[in-house]
Amino acid sequence: MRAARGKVLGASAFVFCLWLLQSYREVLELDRQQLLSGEIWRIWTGHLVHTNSFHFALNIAAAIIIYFTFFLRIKSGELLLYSFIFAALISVTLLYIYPSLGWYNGLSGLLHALVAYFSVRLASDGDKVFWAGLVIIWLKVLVEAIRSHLGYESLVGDMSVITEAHLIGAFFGTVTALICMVYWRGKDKPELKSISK
Amino acid sequence: MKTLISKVCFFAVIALFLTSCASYFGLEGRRGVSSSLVDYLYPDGQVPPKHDETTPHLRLPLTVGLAFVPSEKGTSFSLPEAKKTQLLEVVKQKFVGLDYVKEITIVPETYMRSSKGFEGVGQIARLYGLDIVALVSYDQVAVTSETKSSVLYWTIVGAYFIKGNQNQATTFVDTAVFDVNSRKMLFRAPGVSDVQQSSSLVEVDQVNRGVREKGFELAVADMTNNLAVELDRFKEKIKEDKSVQITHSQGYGGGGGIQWPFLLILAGLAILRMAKR
Repeated sequence: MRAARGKVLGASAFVFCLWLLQSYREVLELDRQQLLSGEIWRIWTGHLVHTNSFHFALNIAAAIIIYFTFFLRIKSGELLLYSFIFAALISVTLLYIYPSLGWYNGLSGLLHALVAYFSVRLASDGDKVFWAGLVIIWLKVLVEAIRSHLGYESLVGDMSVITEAHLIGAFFGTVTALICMVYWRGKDKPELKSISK
Repeated sequence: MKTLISKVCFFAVIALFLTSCASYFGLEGRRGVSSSLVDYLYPDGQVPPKHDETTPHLRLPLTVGLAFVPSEKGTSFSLPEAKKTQLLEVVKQKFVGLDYVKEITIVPETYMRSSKGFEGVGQIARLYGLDIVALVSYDQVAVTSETKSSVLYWTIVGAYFIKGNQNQATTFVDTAVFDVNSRKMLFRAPGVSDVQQSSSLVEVDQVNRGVREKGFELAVADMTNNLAVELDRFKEKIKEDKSVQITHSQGYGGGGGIQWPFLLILAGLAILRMAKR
């Protein structure tokens, strides 16, 4: 009961902090010109700010569901470490592969990477149901990629969804997990938390 | 002879008075104002060029110019410039939030008058840095007719209090959106209105002016809605037939967003997971 209360409080604090950051979108989002002029923090902070309240609400709702479905057994330190790594990988890849992209913001690219990574990680740890999570993520990003190739635009309100960020996130999450699985073969993996009821 | 002269004078005076009365009560009529897109883009009898296979290339986000096609000079019946700008502002507000629209600039009619044809449009586009232009042409006919109750105008007092005139304005506006570089029309949308209002004789001019302005307001509102529908159709059409090439210029962006269907799948998964525990 105490642990559950702690998790709910932690999630609430995360949402509150993220909500506070929304006012600083101009200085935090991934803006190509500003980044190239030296504002390096945007590589990471771009994933924490959102275009509008609706965008924010949808991503936060998804983050909370994903946290309580996927990440309860993951230690906070590991979650933060991979968030840091994936945020940078997604940002740099987006800017490199899509030179016409001027700006990007939102949590969903990072969420795709974390879900893909921890699905493989938890499935390989014996919880086979997480393979379903990986399959769903890949089906989703493939459908988005095909729709995008056919010229359909995904929108959240009036904002264009950069579905490429989802594909890149799922790709890095899966590849990183596979590399880690090979690396950890015969070694001790980072420990998982036991779920307290 | 004298009798003949006095008779002629008498009838002349009577005729003069009758003419005056006829003039006084004779505001009944049909007047109109219009501007022609074809005449503006192809002045002096120019023939539109044959259809070519050039594919318009739009670099998003777009800078859009919005202007009324100038009407023929010399008509005192057209809307004042300030009113036209006000109407275009309504159209602008409807589309200004679109993320593939960088800016919508209202081009004053005086600029449009300076030169005609696509050369003129090109000059204005260079001046404002426009990618596409939306040209609004119009045609309005206003009719003032007298109803049966106008017979009471003969009492003079009736001219002030009896609403014996019917004022009607039928308005048609049409917006055609052109790509400046390829000079191709991308899509168009019409808007119509029909406004009627009765008035007393002394109010005819004032009410007629009001009816004409109201006619333009309603027609532009109708056109704005139709333009939004046509824009959606155009977006779907170019996805299918690739008749317009779209690229994203520097500055285009968006967000990483989870959408409703995926959120529902996630919620389903979470419920399943909780049930399993």
